[in-house]
Amino acid sequence: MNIKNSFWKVPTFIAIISGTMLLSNCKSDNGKSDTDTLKKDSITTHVSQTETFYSMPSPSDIAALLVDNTEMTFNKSFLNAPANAEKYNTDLKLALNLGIYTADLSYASYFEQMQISQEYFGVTKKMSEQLGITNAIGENHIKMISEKKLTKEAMTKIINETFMNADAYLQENDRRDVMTTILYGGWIEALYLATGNTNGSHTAKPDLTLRITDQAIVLEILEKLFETAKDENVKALQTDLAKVKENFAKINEKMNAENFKAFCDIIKELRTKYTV
Amino acid sequence: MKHVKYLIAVTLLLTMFTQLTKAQCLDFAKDKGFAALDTTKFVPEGRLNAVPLSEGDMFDVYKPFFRGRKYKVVVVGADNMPKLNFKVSNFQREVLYDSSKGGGNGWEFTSETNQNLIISVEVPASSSANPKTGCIAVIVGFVE
Repeated sequence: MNIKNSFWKVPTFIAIISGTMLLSNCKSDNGKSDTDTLKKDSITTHVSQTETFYSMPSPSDIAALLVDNTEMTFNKSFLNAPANAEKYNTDLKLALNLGIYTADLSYASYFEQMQISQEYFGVTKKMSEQLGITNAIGENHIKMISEKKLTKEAMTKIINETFMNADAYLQENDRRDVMTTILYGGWIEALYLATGNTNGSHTAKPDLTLRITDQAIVLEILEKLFETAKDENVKALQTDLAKVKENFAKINEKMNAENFKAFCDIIKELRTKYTV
Repeated sequence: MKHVKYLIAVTLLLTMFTQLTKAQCLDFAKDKGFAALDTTKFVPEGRLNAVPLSEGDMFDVYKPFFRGRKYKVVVVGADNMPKLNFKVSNFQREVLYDSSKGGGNGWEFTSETNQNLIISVEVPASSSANPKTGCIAVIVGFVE
């Protein structure tokens, strides 16, 4: 054996091993790590850094905030029809509607509409896979949902767990813009479900109306997320968000029939734009 | 040619390191973070805020809190990391809670208003030439 030639094969060996480990890591999203400590070698003086996260609540958290209200009722006609999922063929539309379907799923499960929840769970699984988010929904989740009559608490736990898996996968793979789009889509849908329940009247369900106005604080976090987005299509959603902000400002300044109707209309307009 | 091979090898190693640390941190957040939160009392929010940091680094998490809801914020670090302190402040950086003033690794509170808050974690600096690196996670839960 030529020692010199073998020596120069070392980088190739490292590359193969590294590549294999990298690929195996990508496939093991649900795998438990053996260690929770890390150590890296440093050959230069460490320069302190600040990591910043803008932690927008998940669609299921937002839906729960709005839906967990005695004035809210279940109305199947408000949901985005599962058949529409076939129409979405860009990453932007897929991500927006994954957020929308996740909010719908939370809404249906909160009202213990288990058959509908199962159907929407299937839609979110398929759309996650289309976006390349693998392993977010495990076989255990599918089995639990298909075999048991779940309580809404158990269903909420499954929805949160699968969302966290998707979040983890997208963070690991530096696809934060996809997560931003999912979160924004889920937020718009939750507002659509809530405003739909008011029938456009700010006085019919006062507590629900108050919960809707509470959501204005999320604008600031969403603006930060869009500002830091790299994808131009995602950044472009800032224009739509600005319209929502403008209408939030109007209802917060003066809540009356005209301003509230305008707010409901803009939410409906954007939701229609994203789901067609 | 050999330089190209080395470049590829080093790039792959660095990429692998980054991927592994992120994956480890997210698992760490679920395991140690949820245990510290006490999921029998608090429902974890559906977001994971975890990142590998070195001694001397900072971690800021901006998030909304809604009025009337009871929350618990916990900050956990890998076993090899020094004791962590965290502050919760509003966007004007007025401090509402400081764990260094007698608090533990968690803070329970009911939000009186709708507010965006910043949870700031400071990893104490070290005089070592090789500062330690480990996962830091900020987990937020609420009472349903």
